[in-house]
Amino acid sequence: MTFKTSDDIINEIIADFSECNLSEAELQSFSELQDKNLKIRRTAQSGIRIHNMLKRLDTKGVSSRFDQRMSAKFSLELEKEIQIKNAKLIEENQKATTS
Amino acid sequence: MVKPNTALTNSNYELRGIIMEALKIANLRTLSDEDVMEQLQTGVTQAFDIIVQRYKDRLHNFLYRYTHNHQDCEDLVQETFLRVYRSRHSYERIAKLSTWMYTIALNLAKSMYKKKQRMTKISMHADPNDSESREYEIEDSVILQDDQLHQKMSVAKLEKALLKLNDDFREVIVLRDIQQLSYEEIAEITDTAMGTVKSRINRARQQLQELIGDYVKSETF
Repeated sequence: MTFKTSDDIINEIIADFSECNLSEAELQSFSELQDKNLKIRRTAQSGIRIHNMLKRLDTKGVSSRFDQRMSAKFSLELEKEIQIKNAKLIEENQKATTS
Repeated sequence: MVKPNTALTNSNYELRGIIMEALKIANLRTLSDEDVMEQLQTGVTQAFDIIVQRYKDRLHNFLYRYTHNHQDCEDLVQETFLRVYRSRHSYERIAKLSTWMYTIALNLAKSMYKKKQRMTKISMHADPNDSESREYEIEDSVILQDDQLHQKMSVAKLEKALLKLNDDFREVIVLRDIQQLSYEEIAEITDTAMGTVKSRINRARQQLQELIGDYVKSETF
């Protein structure tokens, strides 16, 4: 059985706090803790800041040529699959005729 | 007795075929990811295109944080889809399709990243005996007045900082803050306990804060 260290617990709480996922009671206790410990307050604030920054980063989508390239690769994949199946069938037939 | 017009009958059959195909695709579009995957498993190849359309941008956005290069990233996304197709029969409905696909993409990204890192080391330090051979960090000392330019540079700084995080930290923070997946999904994709995921996310945020320092103002975003 493994036990969480107090550091792990605080880290988890800060992660939830940064995303506004704490319950009212948890939030109140955490506010008190922040009042007592400046380091935790700073950590919690930068957690919120980074979370918001990353959330607002632009989405990087695929280019307009993606679909064309993807369907070409998929066609090759299907072709390869058919070739393998055919080769297997031929092999099986050959075995059947020889036996 | 009137002879049937064979040309007309053939074109009717073709038309019917096209309509049936269109209906099949329209029907697939209404299905959940997992149902679409089930169709693919039974041999409906059109289901593959539905999966591609649903996930291409999401996977690209995720993998871009590893490659930082659109071309490499698109290659990785395509490879992910091909692997999804090749291993379609090993997918079981107990897992969400998205989780399964992210796991495949993450493994691919990790191996590509390791390969790239090895190649960079070789090219950056061509001659280990040369004391003059060292990495240069170009600092921009120009005072920025244009807000747009500042925002652009802040984004660049944040993205560069993301690349400096270690694998464990980067994967969880990208999945959570950029891809906005749930903790449960991230735990499944990274094969770690949920507590560890949360703890890593918080540590990753702290590291990013340290890396970008005060350069990026919170008001910028």
